[in-house]
Amino acid sequence: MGGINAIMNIARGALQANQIAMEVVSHNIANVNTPGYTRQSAVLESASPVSINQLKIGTGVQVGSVTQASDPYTTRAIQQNTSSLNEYQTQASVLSQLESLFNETGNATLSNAMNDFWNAWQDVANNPGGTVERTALLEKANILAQKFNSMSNDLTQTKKDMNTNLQMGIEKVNDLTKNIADLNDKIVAAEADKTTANDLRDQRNNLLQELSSWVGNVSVEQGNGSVTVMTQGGNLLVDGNKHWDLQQSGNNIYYNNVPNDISKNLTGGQIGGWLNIRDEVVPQYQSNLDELAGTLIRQVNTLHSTGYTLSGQTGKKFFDNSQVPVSGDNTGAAGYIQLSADVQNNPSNIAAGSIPPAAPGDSSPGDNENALKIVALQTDNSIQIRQWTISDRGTSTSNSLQTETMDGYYQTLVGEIGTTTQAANENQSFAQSTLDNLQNVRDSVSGVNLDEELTELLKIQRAYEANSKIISIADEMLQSLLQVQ
Amino acid sequence: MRVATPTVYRGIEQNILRTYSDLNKIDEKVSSGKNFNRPSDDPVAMVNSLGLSNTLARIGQYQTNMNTAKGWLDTSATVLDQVSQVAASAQQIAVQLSSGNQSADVRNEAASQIDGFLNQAIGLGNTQLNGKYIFGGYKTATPPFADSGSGATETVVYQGDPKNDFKVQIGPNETIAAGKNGETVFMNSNLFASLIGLKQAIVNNDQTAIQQESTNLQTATDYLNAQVSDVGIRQSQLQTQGQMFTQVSANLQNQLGDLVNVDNNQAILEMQQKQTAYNVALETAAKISKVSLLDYLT
Repeated sequence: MGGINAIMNIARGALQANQIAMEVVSHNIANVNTPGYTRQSAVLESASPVSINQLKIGTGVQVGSVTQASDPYTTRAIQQNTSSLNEYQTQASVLSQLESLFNETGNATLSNAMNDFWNAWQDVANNPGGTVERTALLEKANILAQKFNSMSNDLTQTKKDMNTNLQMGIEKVNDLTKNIADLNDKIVAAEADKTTANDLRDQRNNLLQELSSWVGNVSVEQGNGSVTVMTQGGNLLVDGNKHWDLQQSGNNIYYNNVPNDISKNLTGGQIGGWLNIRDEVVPQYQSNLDELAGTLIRQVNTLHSTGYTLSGQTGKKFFDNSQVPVSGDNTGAAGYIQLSADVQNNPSNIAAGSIPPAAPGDSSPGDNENALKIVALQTDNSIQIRQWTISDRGTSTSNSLQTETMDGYYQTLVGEIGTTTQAANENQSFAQSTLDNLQNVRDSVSGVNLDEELTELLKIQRAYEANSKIISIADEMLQSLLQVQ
Repeated sequence: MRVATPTVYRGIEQNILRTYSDLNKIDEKVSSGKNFNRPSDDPVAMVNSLGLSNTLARIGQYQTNMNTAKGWLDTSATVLDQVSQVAASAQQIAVQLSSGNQSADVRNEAASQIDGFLNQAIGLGNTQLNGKYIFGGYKTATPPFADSGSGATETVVYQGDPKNDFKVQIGPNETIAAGKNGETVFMNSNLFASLIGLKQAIVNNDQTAIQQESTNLQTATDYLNAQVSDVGIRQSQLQTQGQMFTQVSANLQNQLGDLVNVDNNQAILEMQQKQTAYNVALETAAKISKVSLLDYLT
């Protein structure tokens, strides 16, 4: 076949091909702001020539394929960085709440409560017989104990909040893995004819990125186009069209309903961040706060019980130590510290003196030696306090014995939370800028540029016009022929 | 590099957010007047400021304690000076009477004068400050000195704390005896015994005894004067310490201020810079988003 019909066929084919190309451009323009969209392009190729009288004559243009300008390497890097960013972001936001517990820039702080407590002992020392001073001391001690209690409660509450968050996160992960498995199925089916399921792949990449924001994962694309997804610790979440769920039970996270905690396999993403807070950060602050409260109870009580009360009695406790085990384990001390029944509502039982009364029942106010000894605890820099370090999600706990004042110990604690929060903030902004950069790199390959698409549009429009012109010329040629009689 | 259209907008958005966040941070500094508002703003400065405020709070308490001690010492000095004058006056009477036999009237008059001195001395020994007896050691609620018996059996008994001085803390591991116990200050001077002895001797017209008590009263006066100067030593110790604390506390306040308080000139300059950066980001956004190929196509 040749001749005018062939010309018309070539032009018709070209109109079709350019229409398709224009559809692809329109699709690109339509998706200019769609997150995760990968720019597509119609690949035009010349159609196979035909031989006519030993001449190879071209048969026009056809659309070979519609490809996407994908950048799998950067896309994977984006997924990984999304999981780091979310981990840091989560930690930074929880830490900034925690840090307000230890925020010593205000007035109602533990540090102030401790100062008031020691100063109240001074006042008692200045007037060991004074009921006003003794009552004030009990009030200050009560405020201090309550401050410890409320900080301890808030820390415990933070751990509970993390579990609530984890519950939500895990549901989200299960949803996502199910959808990824579904998309795997669709992509494998759509690509059976060796084409690329461009938009489905974009959708799946978006889901993978969202999954990374919840929990760090490793995804590997298989030969048939499906992806296999695993947790960082190696639990298979998606394989082909199958997916496996996570379950939360109390402090444990189970895989596929097997009652065996796999939470250590979950790192990165918001879930990783929450687990770090729950199992490392909060327990460490709690242990150290407990250590301080326990040391305070022990040190004050040791001196207090050797002193003498206003009525000449000895052996009275200042803080309730019924829960302080002999072993020296201070777990929970910040939570249970309170005044002992001996002194609660009974200021005369404060043992300010260290000299036994001359005669039993001697009601003269005693000395202030014991009060002075207790006051000296404030500046005693030979007190040994354990400082805990909790890492590896709570599986590694160690402590070092610090020899310092109790005030100094607490200051170290405040400094530590400040540094940790600062580091989390810095990590967050670093991860954010890394991710922004990667996003720009990805966009430079895969993103839509409107000016570029508009130029493309003009190019196609002109081609379309030219081919239409060919049809009208061919038509004129046909008419010329028909007029030959 | 090929730049995608969303990249441009993302860039604009990031710049606006970043400059706004910077501006917000410096705003917080200026409006709170503090260099840091949470530990993570500057952990090192936070810990240092905590240490400084703790020391200041402690010094504040020492200063309060020192005021208490000062009250006690000032009162002690006045009282002891008066007691020493009482002893001296009694001794003069003894000297007058020891020069020869006096009429019964003169002696009676003198005896009652001495009795008056005795009561005055006991009264001074029982001086109270804010309801507390200052010469009873720790036994601040009972009068330390009491007159008992009469005539030959009259004695003054000490019922305060016999061993301990009333101590007040004026520094870390440093206390000062704000009130020395009456045993040390009064009983060891034998003032009361000498006054009682003198009274008896006058009543008995016993010249030898009068002379003896005159010597004793001289000893007592010397002893009491020594006590006055002892108080003086402690007063000056307190003063030195007080001056030291005033100076230290002023230094620490300055350090704390430097650490905590925002340098307004610098902060406002910084705020203006951030404000400019923010404005520039906004203006750039407005300009960039105006340009498009669409504007040139008809």
